[in-house]
Amino acid sequence: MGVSEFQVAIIGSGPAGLSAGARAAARGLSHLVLERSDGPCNTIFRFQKGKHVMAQPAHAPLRSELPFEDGRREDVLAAWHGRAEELGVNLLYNADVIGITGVAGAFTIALADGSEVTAAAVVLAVGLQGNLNTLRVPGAELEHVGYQLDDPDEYEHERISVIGAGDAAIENALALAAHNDVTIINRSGEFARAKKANESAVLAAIESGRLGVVYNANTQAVESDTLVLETPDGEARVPCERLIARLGAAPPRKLVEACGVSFPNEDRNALPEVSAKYESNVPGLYVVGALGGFPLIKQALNQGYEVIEHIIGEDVEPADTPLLREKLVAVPEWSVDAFLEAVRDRVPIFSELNGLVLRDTMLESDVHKFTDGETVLRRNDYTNSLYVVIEGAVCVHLDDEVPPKASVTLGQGAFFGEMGLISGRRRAATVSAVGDVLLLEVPRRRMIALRASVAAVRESMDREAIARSIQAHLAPGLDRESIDDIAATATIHSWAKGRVLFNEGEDGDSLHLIRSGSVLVRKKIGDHDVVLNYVAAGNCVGEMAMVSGEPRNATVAAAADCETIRIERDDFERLMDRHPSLREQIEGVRTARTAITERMAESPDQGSLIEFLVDQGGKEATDILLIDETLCVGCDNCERACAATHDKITRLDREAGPSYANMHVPTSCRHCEHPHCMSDCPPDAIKRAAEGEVYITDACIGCGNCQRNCPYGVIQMAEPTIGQRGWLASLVGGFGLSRAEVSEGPKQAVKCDMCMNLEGGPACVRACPTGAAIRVHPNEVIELITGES
Amino acid sequence: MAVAPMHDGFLVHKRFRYGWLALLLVGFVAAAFFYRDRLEGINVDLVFGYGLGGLALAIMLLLTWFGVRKRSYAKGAGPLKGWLSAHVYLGIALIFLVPMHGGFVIEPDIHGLAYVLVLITAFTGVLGIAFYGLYPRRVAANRDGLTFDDMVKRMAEVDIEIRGLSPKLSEAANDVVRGEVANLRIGGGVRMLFVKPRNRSRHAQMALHRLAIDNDAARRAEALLERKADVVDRLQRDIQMRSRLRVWLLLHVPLSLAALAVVISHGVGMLVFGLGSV
Ligand SMILES: Cc1cc2nc3c(=O)[nH]c(=O)nc-3n(C[C@H](O)[C@H](O)[C@H](O)COP(=O)(O)OP(=O)(O)OC[C@H]3O[C@@H](n4cnc5c(N)ncnc54)[C@H](O)[C@@H]3O)c2cc1C
Ligand code: HEM
Ligand code: SF4
Ligand code: SF4
Repeated sequence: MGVSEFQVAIIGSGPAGLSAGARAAARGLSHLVLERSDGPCNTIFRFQKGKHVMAQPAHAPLRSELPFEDGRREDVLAAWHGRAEELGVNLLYNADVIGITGVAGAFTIALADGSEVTAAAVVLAVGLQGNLNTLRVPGAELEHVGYQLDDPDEYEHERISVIGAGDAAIENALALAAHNDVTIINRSGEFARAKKANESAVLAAIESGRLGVVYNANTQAVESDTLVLETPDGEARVPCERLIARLGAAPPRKLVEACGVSFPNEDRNALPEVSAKYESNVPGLYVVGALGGFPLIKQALNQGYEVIEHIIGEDVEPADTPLLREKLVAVPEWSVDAFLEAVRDRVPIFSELNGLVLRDTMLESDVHKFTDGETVLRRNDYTNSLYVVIEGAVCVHLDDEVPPKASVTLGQGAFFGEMGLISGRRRAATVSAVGDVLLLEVPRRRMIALRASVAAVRESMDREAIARSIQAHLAPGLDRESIDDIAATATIHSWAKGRVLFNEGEDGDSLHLIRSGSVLVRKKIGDHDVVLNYVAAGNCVGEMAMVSGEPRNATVAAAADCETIRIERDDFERLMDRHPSLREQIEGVRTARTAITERMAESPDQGSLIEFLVDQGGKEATDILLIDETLCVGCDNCERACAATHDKITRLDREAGPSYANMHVPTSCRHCEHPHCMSDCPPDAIKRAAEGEVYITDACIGCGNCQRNCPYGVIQMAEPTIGQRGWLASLVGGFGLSRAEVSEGPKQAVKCDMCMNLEGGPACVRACPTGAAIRVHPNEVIELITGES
Repeated sequence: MAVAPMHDGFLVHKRFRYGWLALLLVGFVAAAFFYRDRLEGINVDLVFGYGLGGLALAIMLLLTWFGVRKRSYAKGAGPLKGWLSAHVYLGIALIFLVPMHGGFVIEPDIHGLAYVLVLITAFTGVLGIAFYGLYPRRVAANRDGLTFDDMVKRMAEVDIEIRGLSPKLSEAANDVVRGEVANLRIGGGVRMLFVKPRNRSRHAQMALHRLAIDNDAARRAEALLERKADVVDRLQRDIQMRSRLRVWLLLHVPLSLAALAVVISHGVGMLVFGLGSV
C-alpha cells in the first residue's frame, strides 16, 4: 500500500464539505473536495432563484472559514465561492463517489468514471438530497437531456419527451404540455405507481390528446432531435428537442453503506451513528452535515470546521458550549460537563447516547427547577415533550382529586410525559414536584428522532411505557408488581394505515391496547362491508372475544399509522383475576359496543359518513373545521375573517375540499395528533400549543417541506403582506375577498393557528352568520353518529 | 342528516332564544295595543308614540349595527350567528311593532315614508331568509362535489379536445362548433336572476345531431358537446342560485340605511316639534 495522495478527502461540497475544505486549506492540509455535480453546493444551487437563505438558528455562533448570514441564495453562494478561491480550496467537479475501501491512513475512494483517489482520512458530507438516477444510454450526455425541471414556463412550442411514470414525471409532463408538444415515455403499461390524482390527470390528458404517450418502452439512445425507443412493436423514434428523464433518486444510504458505514436500524430516516468527533464506525471516516443529522446550513458549516480540527488532533471546545452554559443559568452550581455526566449516569433511557447526540439533545432541551407542589404538566394539555428527573422526585396524579387519592412517585432518573409524546393526544395525568426537583424537558421532535435512531432509548422507554399504559388504561389502582410480569410479555406492534389487526372469524387470542393512532371496526353485512365503529388511542380492541371466548366478530384495521400493545389471552385473564373491576369494565365496554354495532348495522350510511370523516383527517385530527352545506350561504365571511385576523392571508379555502352527505371539509388545518408538517422542518419552526394548536413561528426558513408533507394541503407559502383594501371599500365594493398587497420579502409557510391569540375562538367560526361552520374534535362527531356518549 | 346534531343554525340558535324574545315582545305590545282604551291613567299616545317608537328605533339601530358587527372580526362579543338570530327575529318583530306604533295608518308624509321603508327592508330580509333556507342544499346537490373552478376546467378540457377534432370535421360541423364557442354565455346580467340564458352548447349539440354526419370525429364532437352542455347547465344553475343568495342583500342594505335615516329624522322631528302636541 503506497502513501495516500491527500491527508484528507472531503466528499460533497455542500456547506459542510466546503467549510471543511476551507478549513483544511487554511490549516495547510493537503486535501481534495470531490463534488458530483459541475459546481459547488448543489443542494443550495438548486434552491429556487433568488430564494432568501436564512441563517438559523439565529442565536448559534458561526465557526467557519466561510462567511454566512441571511441573504439571497446567489449572494451566499458568491461569498463562499470567493472565499474558497481565496483560500485555495482544491475542488474536483463531476466526481461522483460510489464507494470507499481501506482503513484509516489509507482509504481508496472509487469514482463512477472508474478512477480512484487515495487519502488518509475521509469526510463524508453528501447531504440528504440523494442521487438522481441518470440515463445510461448513448447520447445521455447531450445537452438537451435533463433530470429535473425548475420552471416549466421556460419552454414553449418545443417537442419534449418526459421519461418516467412516477409523480414527478407526470407533474412535469402535464405542466409542460400547456405550451409544448409533450410525449410521456412509460416503461410499463400503466401509471399505477403515481398518486391517484396524478394517475387520473395523466390518463385524462392522454385520452384528450393533450399528451402523447408510449407504453412499454425502453430507452435505447438519445439523438440530437430524436429519442430512440424499444417497444413490443419494434423500434420507435420519437421527435424530441428536449428530454427530461425522471428516474427517481436513490437515497444516499446505499452510498454510505458502500463506504462501510453502518446504520443503527432499517428505518428509512435513520442516520449513521457518529462519535463526539463526528467519526463513524469506520475509524478515520467522518460524517458531517445533514447526513450526520444536522439539517441546517450553519450547523453544517460549523461541523466542517470542527471535523478538520479533530482530524488534525486539535481539542476544540465545541461551538455549542456557551449555549449549553446558558441552559444552566438557573442552576449555577452545575457545570456543563457535570450536567451531561449526570444525565448519562442517572437517566437509564439516555445511558447509551454518545456524547455528540447527548450534547445536541441538551441543546434543544430545557432545564427546569421546580419547588414543592409546583405543577410541571397538566392533565388534558396537548403538550408533548418528555421530562426526565435529574434530581429530586415528582408526583403523578392518577385522578382529578386535589390532593390526588391515587398517585405514583417518580424519582431520580425516571422519565414522564411519554404517553402524550407517543399518542399525540392530551396529557393523561397532572404531574407536580415533590420537594425541589431538577428536570430536563426534551422536545417531542428530539425524542422522536432519538427513539428512531437509538435502539437503547426506544427499548428502555417502551418497557416502562407498556406497564404504565396497562396501569393507566386497564388497571388503575393496581400496584406495579402485579402488572410488571404481564407487561414483560406484552408486545408492541406497529401497523401502517390500512393494515388489518385481525379479521372477523379469527380466533380471539389477544387484545390490543391502542397507544397511538386509531382503528376502524368493520363487519360484512350481506354484501356490504359496513363500518361499525371508530376507536382512538387509549382504548382497546379485541376485548369481546377475550370475555366471550368466541371468534372475532368484526374486522379491525388501522385508520392511521398505529401502534398497539398486544396482550395475550392468558395474561389478560391473569390481569382480570388480579383486578376484578377490569372484568366489569370490559363487560361494560362490550355491552356498549354491542349496542353501537346494532345501531350501525341498521344504518350503513352512517358508517360511510364515519369512514369519510376518518379519511378526511378524523383519524388524526384534534380539531377539524366542518361546514354544513345545508346552512352555508357561500358568503365567505369565514375567509374574510381569517384574512382580517392573519396578516391579510386567509388560511382556509372554504370551497375546496370534499363533501359527503352535506358535510363539507374545507381545506383548513386539522391540528393533527402527530403533525406530518412538523416531521421535516429544518429549523423546528412548527410548534404545538398546550391547547393543541399547531402553529408556525417566525423561525420558518421557507423551505416548503411542511407544505409537501401535509396530507391535507393546508399550508401555503406566502410573501408577507403590506396592505389591503379598506373597510369602506369592502363594504361598498361588495362581495369579493379583499385582495392583499404583497411585499417582495422571502416566502414563509402560513397556516391556520386556530386563532390561538384571539379571544373567543376561531374567527372563521365566530364570523359565520348562519352557523354553518364549526370546529370540533372529530370524536365528538363520530360519537354523535354512533350514539356513544 | 347526521351533521345536523353538530350544527345549530342561526334560526334555531340557542333553542330559538331570540324568537321567543321577539314573540313575547310582540305579544305584550299587541295586548297593550288592543286593550289600550281600557288602560287607565296612561297617556296612550305617549306610550305608543314615544315609547314604542323609541323601542323600534332602538331595534333599528341594533339591526343596523349587525353590519358593523359582521366586519369586526377580531373582537369577541359572541358568534355572529347569535347576532343574526337576534337580527332576524327582532326584524320580523318590527313588521308588527311598526304598524302598531303608527296605529295602522299610513299617510303620505315622513312618518309614512319611514313606515314603508322599514316594512320593505324587513320584507327583503324575509326574502333573504327564504333564499338562505332554500338554496344552500340545492347548490350543494347541483355541484355534486365539484368546485366552480372544477366545472370551468371541465369546460375548458372539452374545448381543447374539440379544437383538436377540427381538421377532421366538415365545414358545416366546424361552423356549428365555432358558433358554439362564439355565442356561449354562461351567466351575467340581471336577467340571469330570473331566467337562465340559453344553453348554446346544448343547441350546438342538437344542431350537430341534425347534420347527421356519420364519422367518428363528428360523433365524438357531439358527445363532447353534450358533456359540455351538462356542465353549462350546472354552472348556470349554480350562478343563478348563488346570485340570488347575494342579490337581496343589495336591496336590503341600502334600504335599511335609507330606512334608518328617515326613521331618525322622523324621530328627531317628533322630538323637536311633536312633544308639545301630546
Ligand atoms: C428547499 C430547501 C430550503 C432550505 N433553506 C434553508 C435555509 O434557508 N437555511 C438553512 O440553514 N438551511 C436550509 N435548508 C437546509 C440546507 O439546505 C441543508 O441543511 C444543507 O444544505 C446541508 O448541507 P450539507 O453540506 O450537509 O449537504 P448538501 O448541501 O446537500 O451538500 C451535499 C453535496 O454533496 C454532493 N454529493 C452528493 N452525493 C455525492 C457523491 N456520491 N459524490 C460526490 N458528491 C456528492 C451533492 O452534489 C451536494 O453538492 C434548506 C433545504 C431545502 C431542501
Ligand atoms: C327593518 C329592519 C332591518 C334593518 C335595518 C336591517 C339591516 C341589516 C343590515 C345593515 C345588514 C347587514 C348587511 C351587510 O352588511 O352585509 C343586514 C343583514 C341581514 N338581514 Fe337585515 N335588517 C332588517 C330586517 C331584517 C329582517 C326582518 C330579516 C329577516 C327576516 C333580516 C335578515 C337579514 C339577513 C339574513 C342578513 C344577512 C346576513 C348575512 O348573510 O350577512 N333583516 N340587515
Ligand atoms: S398542517 Fe397538515 S399535517 Fe400539519 S397539523 Fe395541519 S393538517 Fe396536520
Ligand atoms: S417552510 Fe415549513 S418546514 Fe420549512 S421551515 Fe417553514 S415551517 Fe418549517
